Amino acid sequence: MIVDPNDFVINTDLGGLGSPDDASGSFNFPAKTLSGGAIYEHPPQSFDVDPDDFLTSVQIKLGFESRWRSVAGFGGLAYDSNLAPANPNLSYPGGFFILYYLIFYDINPLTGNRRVNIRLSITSRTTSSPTINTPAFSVDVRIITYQAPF
Amino acid sequence: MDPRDFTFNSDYPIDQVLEVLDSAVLGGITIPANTHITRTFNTVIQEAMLPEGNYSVRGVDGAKAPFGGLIYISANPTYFSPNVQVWIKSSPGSITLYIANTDNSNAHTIDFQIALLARSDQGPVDAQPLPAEFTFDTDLNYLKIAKDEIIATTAAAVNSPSLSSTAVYETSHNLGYVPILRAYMEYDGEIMPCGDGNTGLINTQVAIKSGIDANTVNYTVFNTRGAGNEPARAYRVHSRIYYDS
Repeated sequence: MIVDPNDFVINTDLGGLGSPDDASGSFNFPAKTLSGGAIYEHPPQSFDVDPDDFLTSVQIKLGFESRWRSVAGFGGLAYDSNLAPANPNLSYPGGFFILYYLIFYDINPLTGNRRVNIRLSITSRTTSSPTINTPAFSVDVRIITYQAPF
Repeated sequence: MDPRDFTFNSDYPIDQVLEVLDSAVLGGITIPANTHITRTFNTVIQEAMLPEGNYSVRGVDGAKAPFGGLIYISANPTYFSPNVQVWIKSSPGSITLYIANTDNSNAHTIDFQIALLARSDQGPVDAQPLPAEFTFDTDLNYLKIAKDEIIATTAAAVNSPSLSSTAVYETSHNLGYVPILRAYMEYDGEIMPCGDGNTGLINTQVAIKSGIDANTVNYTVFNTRGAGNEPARAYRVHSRIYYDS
């Protein structure tokens, strides 16, 4: 059957993504002093979601930024000299600052639910970077999960 | 009416899943120790679509990750612990998975589930029956699309390794709250899901970052990570902003 999915369509051959669950919360990332190339890994922060969920949309807001980030998987959040000077609350000698997030899912052994684990790390950029002082900041998290036609 | 609640209304289109691919049907993929491979699967619909999905690693109990994510092999990993990472792209008539295994000692097998969503410029398609029964359930909500647009942009050439060029585009939604969004990078007719990470890096050397507030969304396109010079690249960002929050 030929259909145009960009029209409003309810067609039994097409699927939709139902969103049964959401979660939100926040945690604090501590202040750190890091020598060149050092990494601080914050303990994973876990958020329970439905065990059968298929997809997850995760948004993160760092306390020193005004915008939420729509994140997926693995990558850098704020990582170059262009970002830090724009923030009056932070001071990074040399301007080098890297913050990574890693998101993965597993089963909470206590509840049996699937959980979204968010891992944040902070590091100076290279071993030749000067020591940096980073302030504590909050991290807000929003999670929406979906079911899919499998 | 609050469109964030459950509602069906022709003013509020929703995502349409056109095809799904499942390793329960296609079989898992084994990747040798300390290597990376690609696997391509044909799709019935002969167009690039918006790929979404996740993968798991056999023997890593219960763990799933979105494409572009990481699954660590050990239960208590550190940043550099052995892991398996998988990226995806959709091309006309196929999808390709890029799989990297950093475990020096062991091969690993992944399973995956992929849903291919219609693009905003998809046009009519020959709908393929999906394996699961069709249900709409008021216990679930269905994200309703508030603004769906394709943004054409160009990131300048990069003339030195380790540097990057960027192109920034801002679009307004004026919803008054921070909405859910999805974004995809299209380059040379192929589409990859991109959030704030490096999901688009592996074959086109690009990534996008998104910043959301109550009225606008910023996309920053990176042309980066080149081992050598990178040419200027023209991209299309598929931006899908939902009423839901």
